[in-house]
Amino acid sequence: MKIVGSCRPIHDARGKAAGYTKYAGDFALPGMAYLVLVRSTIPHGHVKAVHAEKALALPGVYGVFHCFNTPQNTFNRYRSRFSQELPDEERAFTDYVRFVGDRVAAVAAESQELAERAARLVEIEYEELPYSIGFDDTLSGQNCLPGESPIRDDFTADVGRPAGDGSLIEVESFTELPRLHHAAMEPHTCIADYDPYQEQLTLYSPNQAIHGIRVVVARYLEMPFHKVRVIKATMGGSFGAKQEWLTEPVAALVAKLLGRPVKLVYSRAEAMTGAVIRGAVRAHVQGKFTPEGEIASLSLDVILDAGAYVGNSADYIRTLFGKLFRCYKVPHAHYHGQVISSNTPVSGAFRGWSAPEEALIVERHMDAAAQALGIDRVELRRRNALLPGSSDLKTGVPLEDIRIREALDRGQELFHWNELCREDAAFNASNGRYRRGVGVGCGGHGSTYFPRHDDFGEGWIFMNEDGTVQLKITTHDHGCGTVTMLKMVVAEVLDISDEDIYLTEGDTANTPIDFGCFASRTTFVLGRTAVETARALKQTLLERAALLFDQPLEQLYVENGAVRCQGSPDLSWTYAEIAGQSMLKLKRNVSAQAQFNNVTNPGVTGAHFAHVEVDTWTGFTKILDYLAVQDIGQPINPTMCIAQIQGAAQMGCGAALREELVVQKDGRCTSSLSKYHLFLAPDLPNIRVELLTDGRSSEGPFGAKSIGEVCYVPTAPAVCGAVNDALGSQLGTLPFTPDRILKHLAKEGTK
Amino acid sequence: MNLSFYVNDRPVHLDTAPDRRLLDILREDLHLTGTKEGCAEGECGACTVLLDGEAVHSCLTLALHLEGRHVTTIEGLAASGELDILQTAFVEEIAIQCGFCTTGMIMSAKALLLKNPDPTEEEIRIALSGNICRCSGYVQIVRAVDRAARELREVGT
Amino acid sequence: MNSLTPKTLAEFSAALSQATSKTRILSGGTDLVIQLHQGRAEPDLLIYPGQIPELHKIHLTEDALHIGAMATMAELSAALDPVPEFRAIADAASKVGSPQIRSKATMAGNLCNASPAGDMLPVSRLYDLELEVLSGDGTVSRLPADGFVLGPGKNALQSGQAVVGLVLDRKCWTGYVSAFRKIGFREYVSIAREGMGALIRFEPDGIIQDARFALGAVATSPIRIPEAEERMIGRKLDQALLEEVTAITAQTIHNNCRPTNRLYKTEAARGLVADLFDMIQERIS
Repeated sequence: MKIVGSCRPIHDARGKAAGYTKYAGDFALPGMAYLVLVRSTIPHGHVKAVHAEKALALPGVYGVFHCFNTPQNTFNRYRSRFSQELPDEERAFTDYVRFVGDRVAAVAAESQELAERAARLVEIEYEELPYSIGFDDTLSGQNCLPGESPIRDDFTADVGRPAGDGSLIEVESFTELPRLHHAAMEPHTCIADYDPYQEQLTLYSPNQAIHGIRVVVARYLEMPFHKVRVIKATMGGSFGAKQEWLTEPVAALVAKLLGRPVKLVYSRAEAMTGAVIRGAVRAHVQGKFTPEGEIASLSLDVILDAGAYVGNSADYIRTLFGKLFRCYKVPHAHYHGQVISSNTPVSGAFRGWSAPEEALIVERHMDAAAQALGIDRVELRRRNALLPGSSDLKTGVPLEDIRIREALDRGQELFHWNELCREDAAFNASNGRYRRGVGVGCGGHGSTYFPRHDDFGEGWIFMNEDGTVQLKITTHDHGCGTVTMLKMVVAEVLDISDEDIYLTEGDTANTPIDFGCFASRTTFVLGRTAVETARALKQTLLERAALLFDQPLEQLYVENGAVRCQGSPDLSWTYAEIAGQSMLKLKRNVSAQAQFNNVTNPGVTGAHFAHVEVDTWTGFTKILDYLAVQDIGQPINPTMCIAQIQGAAQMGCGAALREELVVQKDGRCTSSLSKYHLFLAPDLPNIRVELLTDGRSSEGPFGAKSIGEVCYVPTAPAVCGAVNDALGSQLGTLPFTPDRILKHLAKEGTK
Repeated sequence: MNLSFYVNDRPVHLDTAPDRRLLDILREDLHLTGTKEGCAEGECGACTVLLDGEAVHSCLTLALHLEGRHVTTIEGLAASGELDILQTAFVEEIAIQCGFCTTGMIMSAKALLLKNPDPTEEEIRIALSGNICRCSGYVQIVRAVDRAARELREVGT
Repeated sequence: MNSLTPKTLAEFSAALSQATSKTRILSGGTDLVIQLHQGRAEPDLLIYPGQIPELHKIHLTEDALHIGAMATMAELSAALDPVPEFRAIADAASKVGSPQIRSKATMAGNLCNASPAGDMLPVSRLYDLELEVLSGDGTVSRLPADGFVLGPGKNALQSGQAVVGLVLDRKCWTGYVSAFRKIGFREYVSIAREGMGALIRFEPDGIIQDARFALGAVATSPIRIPEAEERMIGRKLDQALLEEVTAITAQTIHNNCRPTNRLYKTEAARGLVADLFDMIQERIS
């Protein structure tokens, strides 16, 4: 292959390096109003009155919008397709607040600064209600309205049959995961522009599903879909934070009411607490293992705190169960999942969509099992790893060439696992202050919605008169290089340079309907769609050449941007010639279209290894070394994949050791990066990555699988496992902050 | 207040509020949107520019701070359409993903290399400790700065 | 809001004479600008003394160290790292925030901001420095560091006063070794959770002649640890002494710290003191 598998910077790297590439926040439209939200300061209650007089009195304030002066229309922030059965319950401005940060009002003004100042002058009167902020107080029913149950959703499932009794060893583990902030560097942003003459709305935002936004906003504003245009802006990161619709319905409503373009940019505090977070999870696992360490049965009890609104949590708690069958052989699993709703920020999509939580829960359990059984942790995982040719026990879908076993083997070797275990034991025995340990984390994911939803993509492709190509396919680049990936696969099929292809990101006016960029489906489904689209164009080129130049179609082939003929080496027509002649002589453009519908969902996995050193006198954990082994299939653009995987490792270190959104007793949540501690450049070693590329998919483009989410799944488990190894502990409440570590050591010391 | 200062070596005269943030002056008054706002409290580093050659947060710098001083933004590193050695290194070393941290990261690197043309890896990492990247593990970023340092030394800049 | 940008000390005091209780002085801005942006401070007048050249100077003579109110953390760190008796100030300054913060933040500003976690508070107590205070009538008075911080966010300045410099005696610290170590939430770019400075004089044979400690971010203002200081005298910097000082420091933290973080801060004292002693040990040789 000439292009697939080679390395490219992201398509807009030069513009980004120059500061030229524009994000939504960099645009301004004439007459534009800046919108600043007024958010609830109480965790639970009714809005009795909104006093906007002081704000309205400031010159340059265009309006104050709230529950009493806006329509009662509702929407569902989580909806990404027209057919989902979801309750439309959310108003732009609510009169019943369920968390500190709930949207109550908004001020539109001629500048951001003025809108912020005016927003501080809006006074809200509340009637307060009892509230809860954690698992225990919520489960006790503290925040329930009459008739409400603390359990908002209850799901039980059983898959498989327990493996033969014999003598099974029982293992038990507990895990508690905190709330997390995605921390995309770009805050949520939307520009809404309503043309009252054409009755046309245009929305411009960084998002993961333009058609999802269109469905939601069009229904919300009672407009036909063709009158709502959604354009995906260059996105400064998302990790799932921008796949639920928060800014768009609000900005659209205000633009329509105000008669001006509206720009809404979240502050960092709003991005942290007033958008979506990864919800807190509590899990209890009881497992049964054979003496050889094979899983006979797993029983999970999981509680997810949805936060103030159930949003995606019903789907999320169910999806977590499904992840159990994407990495290990689990002959039987019993699952009980519950959703509660505390008065705290709303849980939503987060990279991995429950797979990282599942991996933290299961990997904690595997480490506990390894301890109970006296089996090395890598060996235990090896014995349970799904083998190529297995199927997903829950869905029956083949996992195809899943290579988790190979990833474990490769990682154990490259990481010098056995040697490190010995060296760390010696180090710890002779050292007073520092403790070293190694950890391994495994996890799997999918590459498409299938079979939960039937998945498909559509592409259109046009050849220009000069042989350059224009591709139309709906993509939402997160900054991960999917635009580049699509160009590369098309270039590979057509045997041209990827620089001769024009592709912009999703725009409902210009690109076909698509479900959106989540579920790790972009490379697998849209990449394959692009391949099919390019193949269709290639076929068209060959057919036109056959007609135009009177050659047998079956002898024609493409090479280096030209059509050639077998057996006639001096015959060659460039794509430009064919396109031009086709227009002139055949009166047809050279263009094509394809739709691709995948019916597979191959297993994609990773095994990550971490070596840490814990300072038992300060509780600080240093990452000494980190290796990610990814079962990735064919990487289209390997260096971007590697960069993504390392980013995932950074996030995983944070999740394992530092990151936690804390809700105070009064309901206020961490809202500053000075209190939410991310990993910085001096905190990390050179993160090593090994790509295993032999485990190809049958349907993906050139055998590709997925990478964006699966690479995050094993990260925190590897680091947590390493800390527990270093301390000889069984800590299960994340993050393993210095406080938790010293508290544990103090308790150990008093024994 | 009347403010006279320099942005990318060009004189700028503004009548502005004394507490107007440099970040807003750049992005809104001068339409230099390469400098980004990520947190408004000096934590993320996306707003980093040079003030008399030192890396500062433009979100924490006020008009009052600027009289007579020289601000360098990302737009000032190279002529339109071109990239300097540091920017090129970021592109070619795959140090850019979503790009939102990129301009601030480059400016912090620039400040480092102005003072220390031969930094160790540790010095690079500490110089970038005020710039958060959520997309990467900082590996390519550090490599890009190291490469740029080397190339600049070779060029004799 | 009005603003004044005095170009001389005389203009500065004239500006101060116009100050009300709502007037604020802008130095590096790394704390104040956040407050302004969030509407938590709404001054009637902002005075920016950054155009006064003397205020940027760090002046070291045989007898004294004078730190201008506008000298940045970066400048302090570079100037004082090579000066053994004042190296603790460099240590503290070099760990304030991030490089961008250090380019603008000032020690005077940090003291006036009076946060209990203020990075420069402990070292100001360590040296018992004095703050040079300019008033609206042109007079310059001195305030001791001890007692300057009255409570979280409250300092001993009257309205119409501003700090123009920090003065430290140098002669009395000749031959002293100093160090400062902080524990935050992470190694770089973090608010301090606890910080400790040490200023020790050793005799040629390694016996400690004099010792001072200052502990910060534990109480609302920094505290000395007299019991630990006394224990040091006549001893060598060895394991036994380290353990004693650690135990006393831990107890001091325990006695002064609010319940929320008490367990961590008390336990972490072990690492804090050990690291501080390591730094001192390295600097003796």
